[in-house]
Amino acid sequence: MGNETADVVVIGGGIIGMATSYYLSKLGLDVVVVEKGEIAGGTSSKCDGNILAIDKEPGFDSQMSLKSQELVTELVKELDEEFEYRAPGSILVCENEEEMVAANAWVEHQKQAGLPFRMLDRNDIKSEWKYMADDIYGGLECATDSTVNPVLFTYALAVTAKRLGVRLKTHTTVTKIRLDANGAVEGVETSSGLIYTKQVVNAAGVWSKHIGQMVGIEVPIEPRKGHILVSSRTKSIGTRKVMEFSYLMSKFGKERKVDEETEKYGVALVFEPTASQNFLIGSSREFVGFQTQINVDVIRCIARRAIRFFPVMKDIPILRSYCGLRPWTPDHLPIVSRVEEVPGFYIAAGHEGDGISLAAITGKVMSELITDQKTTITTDPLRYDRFQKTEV
Amino acid sequence: MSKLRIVNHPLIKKGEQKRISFTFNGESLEGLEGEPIAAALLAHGIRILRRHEESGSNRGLYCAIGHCMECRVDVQGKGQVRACLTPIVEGMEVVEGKQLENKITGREAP
Repeated sequence: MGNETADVVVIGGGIIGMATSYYLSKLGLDVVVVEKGEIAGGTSSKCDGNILAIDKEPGFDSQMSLKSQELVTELVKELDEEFEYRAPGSILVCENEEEMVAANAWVEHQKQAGLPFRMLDRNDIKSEWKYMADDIYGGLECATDSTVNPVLFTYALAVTAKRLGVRLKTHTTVTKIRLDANGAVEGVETSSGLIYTKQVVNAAGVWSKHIGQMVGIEVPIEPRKGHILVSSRTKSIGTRKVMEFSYLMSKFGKERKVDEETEKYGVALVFEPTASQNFLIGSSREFVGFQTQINVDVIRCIARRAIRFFPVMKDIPILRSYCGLRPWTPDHLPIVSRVEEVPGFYIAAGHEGDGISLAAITGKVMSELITDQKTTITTDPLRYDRFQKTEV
Repeated sequence: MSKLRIVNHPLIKKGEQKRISFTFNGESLEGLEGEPIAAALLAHGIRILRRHEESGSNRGLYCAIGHCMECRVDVQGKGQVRACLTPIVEGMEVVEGKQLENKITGREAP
């Protein structure tokens, strides 16, 4: 258990930690990753794999996603391994006239911001989606949305980062973060020894609050549980992502017209076809702490919602289901920031369901913050101290 | 009845189950009402229940308790079912699971 040194220690081997490490190593920094389990062993393997602008609020949120999409197209060429990247676009579907009106407003906002959105009428839906329910009113499309296999994406980043010199310490727990007399980061104590470093990135996702407490700060990130169902291999139902428009309502905590159980578990249709001839069906959103047991009532509720949009699914078996914890923040934006009161301490966490979407831009920006460069996008809305300001 | 069917066993009472007819890939076969599809087919020496959707390689009864999902067949009117768990009934039309195209990778059906 010898002592090591590093320019930066990244805590967390999920998609955010790996993207951050990759971009840091590209700049020539000496990086150590400390991960308590396996690479992509937490949220990054218990999710689905999208890089979406379609579900982001017009403005900063959607522009951040668009930038991330651009970076991922570069990563497809830069990384050592393939990760099932495709960019078929994605769609949202509407169940009634009210949703169509709201969808139209959403599309107009996004178009004004220069994003490739358009409305789809009943015929557009019917001609692309043979198996969609007949009573769907229409929907909208974002033409640039892309999809990846999240586990392969995380590993592609990890493998390439490793080749560039990043040291990955899996099954290693952070026990303490050492601060010097001025309160600045001095080192990280782990279950396999001390690492001297002046810079630490807290990329611990749902566990980042715990890591923050080691340096005496409160990171306002809470676990939000989500279930996903995996179908058996089957004839193709469709080749790109479909969500229900009211998913946006669920995401932003607005009122939806659904039954009590669907509302209670935050269930909204998310359909994601994969390269393995099957599809993933989501999803739910619940605050139930760190508990990750499958709840069959939630599975049934998600399945019922999926069959409402795709009646054919009643005859397609579910192979298995899983759930993961999404790192939620109070304003639905991640924290990608310095922590001013602890010099050398950074946070890259709190992406809730957008970690895969925003990993590339997060990693890029984090590498720029650490090396004092101008950031690719403004980071003001992502600052850690925005939560402290609201309390004053 | 098929030679492969066990008829003499302390747990099996003779003449207890009704003989029914069903089809597998269009071929008419006889089985015992209520036995799993996989058992009825095994009694006829049919072990290939499915061709893998991607590779086309053969699949059959593996765990036989509903866990592995390998024995999926198509039943007219029911969609994909597990042959090890689904009781056979008179007139059931069963078709083996087939190799399929992959619209995402672009691989065409054979």
